[in-house]
Amino acid sequence: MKISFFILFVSVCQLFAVNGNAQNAKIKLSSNKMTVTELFSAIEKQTDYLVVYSDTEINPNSEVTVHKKSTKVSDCLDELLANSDMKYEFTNNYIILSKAKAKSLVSAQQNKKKVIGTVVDMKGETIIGATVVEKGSTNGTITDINGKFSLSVSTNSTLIISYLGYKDQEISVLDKSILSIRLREDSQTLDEVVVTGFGLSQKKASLTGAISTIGNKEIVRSSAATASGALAGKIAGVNSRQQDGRPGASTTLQIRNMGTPLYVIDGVQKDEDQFNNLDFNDIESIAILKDASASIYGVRAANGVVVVTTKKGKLNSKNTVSLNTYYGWQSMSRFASPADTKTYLTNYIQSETIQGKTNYIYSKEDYQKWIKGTEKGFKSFDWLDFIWNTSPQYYLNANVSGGSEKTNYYFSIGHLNQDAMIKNYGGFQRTNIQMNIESQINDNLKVGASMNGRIEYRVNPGVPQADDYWLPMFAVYRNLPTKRPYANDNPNYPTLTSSNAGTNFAWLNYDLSGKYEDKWRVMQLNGNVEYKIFDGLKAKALFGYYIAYEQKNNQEYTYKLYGYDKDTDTYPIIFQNNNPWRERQIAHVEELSSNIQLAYDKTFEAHHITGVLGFESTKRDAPRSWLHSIPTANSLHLIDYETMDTYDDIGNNTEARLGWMFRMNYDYANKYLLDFSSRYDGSWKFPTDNRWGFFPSASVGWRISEENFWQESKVSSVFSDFKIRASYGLVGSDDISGYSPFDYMEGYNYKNGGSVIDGEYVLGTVPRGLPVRTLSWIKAKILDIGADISFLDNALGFQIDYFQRKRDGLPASRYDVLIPNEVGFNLPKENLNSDMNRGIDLAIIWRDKIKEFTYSAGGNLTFARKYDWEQYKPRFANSWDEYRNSINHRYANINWGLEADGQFKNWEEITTWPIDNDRQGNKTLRPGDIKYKDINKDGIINSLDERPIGYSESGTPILNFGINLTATWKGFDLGIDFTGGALSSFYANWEQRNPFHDGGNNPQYYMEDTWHLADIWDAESELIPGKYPTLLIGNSSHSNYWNSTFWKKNISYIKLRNLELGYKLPKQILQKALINELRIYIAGTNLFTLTNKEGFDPENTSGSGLQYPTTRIINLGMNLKF
Amino acid sequence: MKTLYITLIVIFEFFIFSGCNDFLDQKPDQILTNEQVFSDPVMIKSVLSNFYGRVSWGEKINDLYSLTILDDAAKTDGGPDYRSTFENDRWRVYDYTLLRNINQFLKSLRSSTAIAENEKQQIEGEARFLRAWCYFNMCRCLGGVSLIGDEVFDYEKDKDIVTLQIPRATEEETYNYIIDECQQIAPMLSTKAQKNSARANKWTAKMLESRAALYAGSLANYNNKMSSPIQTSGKEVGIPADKANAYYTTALAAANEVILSGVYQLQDAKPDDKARNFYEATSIKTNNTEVIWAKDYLYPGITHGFTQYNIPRSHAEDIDNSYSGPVLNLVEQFEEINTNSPGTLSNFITKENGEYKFYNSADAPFLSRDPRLGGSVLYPGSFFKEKEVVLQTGQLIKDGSGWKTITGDLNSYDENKNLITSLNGPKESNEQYINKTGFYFRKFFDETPGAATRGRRSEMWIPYFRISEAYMIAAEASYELKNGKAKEYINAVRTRAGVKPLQTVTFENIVHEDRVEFAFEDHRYWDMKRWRLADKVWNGNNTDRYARHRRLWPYKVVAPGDSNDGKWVFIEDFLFMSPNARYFKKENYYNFIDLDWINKNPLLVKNPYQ
Repeated sequence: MKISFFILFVSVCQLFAVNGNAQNAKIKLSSNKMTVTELFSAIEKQTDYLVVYSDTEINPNSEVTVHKKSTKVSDCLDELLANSDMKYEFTNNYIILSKAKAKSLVSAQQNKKKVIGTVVDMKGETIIGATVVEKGSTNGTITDINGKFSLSVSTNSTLIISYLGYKDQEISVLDKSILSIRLREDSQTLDEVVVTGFGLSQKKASLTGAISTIGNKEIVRSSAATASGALAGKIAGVNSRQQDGRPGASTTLQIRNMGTPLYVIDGVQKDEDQFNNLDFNDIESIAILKDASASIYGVRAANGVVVVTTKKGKLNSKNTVSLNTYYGWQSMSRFASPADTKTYLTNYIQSETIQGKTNYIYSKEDYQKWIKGTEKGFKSFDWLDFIWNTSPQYYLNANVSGGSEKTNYYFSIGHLNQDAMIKNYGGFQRTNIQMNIESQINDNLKVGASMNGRIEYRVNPGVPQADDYWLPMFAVYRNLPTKRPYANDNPNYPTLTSSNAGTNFAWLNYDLSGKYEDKWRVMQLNGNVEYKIFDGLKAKALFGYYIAYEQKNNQEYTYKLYGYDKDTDTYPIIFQNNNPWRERQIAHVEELSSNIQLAYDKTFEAHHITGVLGFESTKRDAPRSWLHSIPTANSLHLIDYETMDTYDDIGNNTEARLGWMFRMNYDYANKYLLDFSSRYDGSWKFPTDNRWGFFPSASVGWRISEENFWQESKVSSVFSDFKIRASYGLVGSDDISGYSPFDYMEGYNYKNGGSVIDGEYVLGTVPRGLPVRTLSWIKAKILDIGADISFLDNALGFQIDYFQRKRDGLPASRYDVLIPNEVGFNLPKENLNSDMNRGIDLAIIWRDKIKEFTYSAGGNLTFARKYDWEQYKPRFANSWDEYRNSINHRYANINWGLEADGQFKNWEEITTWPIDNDRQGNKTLRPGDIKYKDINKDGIINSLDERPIGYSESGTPILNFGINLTATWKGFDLGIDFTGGALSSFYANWEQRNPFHDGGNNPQYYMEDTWHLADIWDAESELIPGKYPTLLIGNSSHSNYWNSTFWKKNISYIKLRNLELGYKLPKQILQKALINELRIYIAGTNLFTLTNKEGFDPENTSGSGLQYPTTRIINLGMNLKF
Repeated sequence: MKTLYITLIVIFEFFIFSGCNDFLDQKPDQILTNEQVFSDPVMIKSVLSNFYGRVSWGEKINDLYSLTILDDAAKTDGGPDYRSTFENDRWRVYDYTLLRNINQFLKSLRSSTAIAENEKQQIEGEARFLRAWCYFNMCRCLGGVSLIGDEVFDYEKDKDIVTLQIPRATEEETYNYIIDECQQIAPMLSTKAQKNSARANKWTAKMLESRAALYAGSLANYNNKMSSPIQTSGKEVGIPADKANAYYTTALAAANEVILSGVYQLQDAKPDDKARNFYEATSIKTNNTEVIWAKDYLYPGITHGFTQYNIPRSHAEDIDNSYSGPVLNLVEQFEEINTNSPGTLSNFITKENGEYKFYNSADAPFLSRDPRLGGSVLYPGSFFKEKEVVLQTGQLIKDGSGWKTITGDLNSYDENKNLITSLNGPKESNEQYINKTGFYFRKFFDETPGAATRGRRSEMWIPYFRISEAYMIAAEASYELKNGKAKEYINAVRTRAGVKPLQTVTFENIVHEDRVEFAFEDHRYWDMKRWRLADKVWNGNNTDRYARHRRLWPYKVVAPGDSNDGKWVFIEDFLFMSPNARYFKKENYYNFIDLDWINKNPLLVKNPYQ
């Protein structure tokens, strides 16, 4: 390749606020002597500027001497060029070095000229298909297979070079005719722009709130069906738990364990569900507002805010088509198998022996036959295998994006299909559409529109129970391994397999049990207008319209179960279900939102001010109706009036909220940062005279690393950035438990109760209680103190935050105003109590590059604990009452129980045991039974011996952490995410604890490890120890099964959540097929879990274990661009 | 230009803001004003309907497991039920919210001009009847309670709450208030029978008056016969013994008035099938002359799950069945028709001279009993909806020279296709949906197709008052007043039932008659309390036949060639499912006054033993 005349390093950062005082930008140099190249690259790395020069005019390898190691760029250049005929100028985002006279020569020339150039990335690899456009025209081209382009342009023009995944570059042509352009990847650095709320954004470096962000690359490395699943473990300050893995299931996310956060998608306030069902490939970035910076969103922001920005096209970029797809295999990550026939029968017979039964249900001969398992009628059956299998999940997304000089666009369509792991059981499908388009109408006016739509579809057989996934799980344990699903093993005749007819999975299918379908059609339409009133002041308006429509149809058939008559070879009916169930729910949600603001942004010298004044309104209607009918035949699916017996009109449930907001942000020289904001909010829930609240907040930051004393000291060679910040604010919440909208009104409630009088059903009407006029907002005071530190030239980043949220005004009654029960009403609640969330979160990341090997390792941790705080004049009967029941200034969700203290080893130990362990004089005890600590030393085990032994069983864990590793080498890339949690409790119950629960089975891990008899037919035979007490039928109230640390365990875990290995095919191969990029990958989810919880996924909460397990998925996928 | 833009935007935002409060004033869907309600007879009836829906308390069939609390039935759903003692708030009622609601309603009703005066009288009478009924339900579990009359209390911040504190009335005053109210409202109410007896009329008021007076009379009587009568110094609990006769007289008079009115008769439409007749008298609404007041159900509208939960497995229409069933303790109360001691229980004979007693059919030991058994309980070999209820635990087979029993899975057969264990059990097991007592309910079981499905459920009513109660009250009051008429009243009930009339009437006969006549009708618990028998019978002794649930299991004899082949034997035992005897302590005669109530109203006094 011919050596280029000019070598241009160009990089532009997309700043919302351009740093206007370029000459004042400072750099730090590692030594006083260096080559020109080294100096320029230092400037480029440490500032937003790139240096443009000609290597015929400046020898890049010549050595220069700089006197100060820490200096202003301009001083440095002045020094460098002092003895030359070169000059420099700052233009846009680059520094151009040229001969003092050169410019005038060039400017004399007019007319068109031909420019040729090469586009490469920072590693020097050529970029094929990058768009090169002459600014302000439609004149453009794209780079060829060698990354080269040639274009005829006017001499004074500017070229815009863009390519997906890279930052756009602008360079002016001037007198250059050969250009070499390097595009910088759009990665996250200090230059990253962070959405701080209400359409505002800020450079990360000048941020003062506790806001974490995550970009598209980190999100898409997941095969979760919902966006929440893709976020788990990736952001500091987010607690997560996936309790249930059913198709379409989401992960519970909480910011710092404060409760369900508010979701804001492209500026519009939305809920969890709307967020979860975005196609996360359409998400550009997510910002998590963890502290008072959330307050800008008003009355629903007290639990933090998740701000989502979807992808947009780029101005002046080539049209790019991307295809992303994967196909995966799902299996259960962890699920405890039920005991097999031998284990079950051994325990069962042993139990009968110990309980003195002589009339054994299973005789010795039968037992032997079952153990052998070959004779007809004595073959055991694997219910787990019969019901559950590996099932597919696949995904396909196509998107088109690009932009001209004035207009940019992004269109995307995606489809996800996730089948249930239960055989022939349907699953979840979702089709998403996203369209974003923006156009600059003239210099001052910009308009945009976006649409986000989806169709969500859930389908499965119409089986009994409200939750159709429950029976197939229950059936695994409820059906004994000695039962078979079909009469005479004839698959046409499902039989009764347990006393609960619903447990025979053989009839839980579309043919025999009907069909359940739930479909949501959802559309969010947004329109926005931005008008530049004068330089620095803009008016913006955003209007949103949301419509969601649900149609749920469920039909459960009548069915028959059969026996078998050997002699006549017939199948008599032994059970008949005559409950045809047909229901339909029609619901829709309609939401109107508007958001109007004036935004000001100005820089004066070193002062930078932004301000916003805004107004926001939302109104939501959610009418719903439900009907039930009893169809006369299974084949009839239409509902008619004659068979309908219930029509329930749930009404509109209108919500309306208004808010005014003001925000001001000031920074001085990027050093001293100050932010103030406030909200004035109104909610329809409260009476007219008491519905507005004012909520201010403020934050400050100090970038110590920008100070001269710091930069001149030695620490600056280690720390590339050091910022401390603090925020404090008041956030209101109108989500008040126990207070319904209109509780301030008197009168009568219609549709309340009712009875049959005069032979007809008359809906009731009831007088309302005393009007509640004493309750108002809950006020959350949120404090956050944090630091952002970068070391070693930003290779190592560290962020730490301490936070505390105190919520005042939780509703409670003044119990010292004693309203006698006899008057027939309760004292209305008032804002009296408070609670507190406290903790820390931190994130650390290391990024480095060794030749062609680029890697990063990151970790994050969130410790967030809730306390019950001030209680209204707490009062207790005695000190035990206070110890046990006080919640004043205590950890919330304390889980009490007995402390298990090993097991009785032999009969002698029981007879001499001094403590009454079972409250029956120890006469029910056997060796292997659980001993309890007599904590209060009163000789008897009872509730007075209970102590705090655990944490919440269902909430998100107090401690969550994630480890994220990435690496690329040549065409290969690897991403690994670990997630973990601790400080949550699991309480084994029902199937996981009670012997032969409800006549069913227990898990293998449990049954096979019990104290047992050497000879199960002889109660006097030797006892062989095991981990669990001997299982005895009907014994589930025994002291063994009391609430204790034996069954209630504190769970910790670490999971390999995502592992993805990809390979980008070399471009030389692809270009023949006109493909720009082709990446294939293999990915795994939940590949392994380390935990102290036996049998089940540690994130499950159900004590019975009957919760749809999380899935292990292996995917093969492909990303294609052309 | 710039200024213009700013001005325009500020004006625009101001415009939006000025509409703010309108925007936030949303209209609720389900809230009506006082005026909207009381200007429309439809809405007035709607409020009344709400009140009727809120007055079911105590043991009731629409409350799953409610019938298993006492000694009439047991839980058979899953593993053992360790219940033994009675909670100190068992069936406690303290519904001052309802009383306030009724008073609010009365106040507005009296000033309403939307309905005619006579209609207003009827509605006021009904509302006051429901209020009196509520007081009665409170008084029978707590003793005397605070009487608030027509008062509608209110509260504003800083109001003196002492004025809101009302002490408990005495037990006597409370019963008197109920009786007075009934006497006052009886003339306001219709004298006609109401559709499905769902609304109160004059006779409902009379029945409540009569029952309240009987309760008060027997408390005055039997409490004072205890070695240490249960009472408080202020007589919030405890009625002087000398008041007994007056109460019995009131009870007798009111009951007699109902009997003599002729509006209701002891239903005897099927004298040839007394079991069916009794079932229809209690459980069929059509052409019913028996039931005076009931909670009615209607499909579509409001239904309950008694049939659905407890139906025999062989008759199940949905997954649910066999949640609970009657125990032998109740079944043996139904006397042998040919007994030498009418009016008392007849034990089942399962062995004679140490040998099994062989019966010719599964239903033989039951057919010879009080026909009300067949109307109240499904026993082995009985029929429901014209289909046999097969109950068979196992077989009795030859074991050398003796006999032995064998059992199997549900619906299991031996090699010769003889049934071993029937689909209905009974069986010893900790499984759900399996009968374990040997009996199912009959009374209040709904024969309508679909009544046992989750999608429809049952529209069986729940009677509060039947005419036979008027007879039984009259009988008991007469017995206590020793006026010689007890025999006449009790025999009316017995004759209708199809059992021998009594020659003389003893107290035990009355206790017995009430138990079999009103099984599952929320009488027994309150009767046992007012007679002060509860602590004696439910003594917590696990070996006591009457304190602990028992079962009677049927076995079919399978012994080809033996003369007893094909016959049936029965084995009686304590019920595995109920390992503990019922244990009623003296403190259970009155529920505890909740400490929270006392906290809020220091004028309340605690109940004895509390």
